[in-house]
Amino acid sequence: MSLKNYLLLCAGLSLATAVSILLVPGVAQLFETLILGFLFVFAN
Amino acid sequence: MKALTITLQALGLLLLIPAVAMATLRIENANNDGPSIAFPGGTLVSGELHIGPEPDWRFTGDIDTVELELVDSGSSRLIWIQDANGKAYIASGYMQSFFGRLWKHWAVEADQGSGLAVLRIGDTRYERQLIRIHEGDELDGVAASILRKYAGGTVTAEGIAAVRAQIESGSTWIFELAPRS
Repeated sequence: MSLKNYLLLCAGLSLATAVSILLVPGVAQLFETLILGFLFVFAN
Repeated sequence: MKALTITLQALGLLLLIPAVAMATLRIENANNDGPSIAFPGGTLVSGELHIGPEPDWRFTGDIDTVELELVDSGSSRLIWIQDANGKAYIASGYMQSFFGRLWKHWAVEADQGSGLAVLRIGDTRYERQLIRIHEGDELDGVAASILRKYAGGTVTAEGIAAVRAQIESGSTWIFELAPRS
């Protein structure tokens, strides 16, 4: 994949992630649960 | 070379999505009246301010989490609460690991700052002064409360000694939620 296409993919995924967290019910909670799970494991 | 590029690109995407998610959630919550599960919120605004005699904090024995705002930063978080001898305490664990200190930065802020805080339980806000307790027999009651509420409910002398050792070694920080003078 060319650098330009890769950066476009990154931008698209970032936008999709942010918009889904802000607008789709339950997505923010899902991400928070995953992040908490990560912290409980790795903060030890 | 191509395989390395693809691996690095995939790794970049794997790091990017959690980073974007964390930044979005942090920004989204920053000005809310209260925290989310994992991210700090803003100043605690709603709820009546408690005025009057000091409560007997044993009523928190059945309450899992409370909302705590640090006045210095105006940010709030969800936190466990312990009670012992009629006083209330909060704990911050993982204080000796990199991720722990990053996650629990509020404890460093409380310890190094003024320690002024606002606690919200249900619809009531309590103005408090956070005082870190480093050692002493007072910690036995706090350790028992931690075991009873958050570690399966079995309270033994060995368990209390183990939790107290964690506190006195600095791995877990305990703050008393003292009344403001």
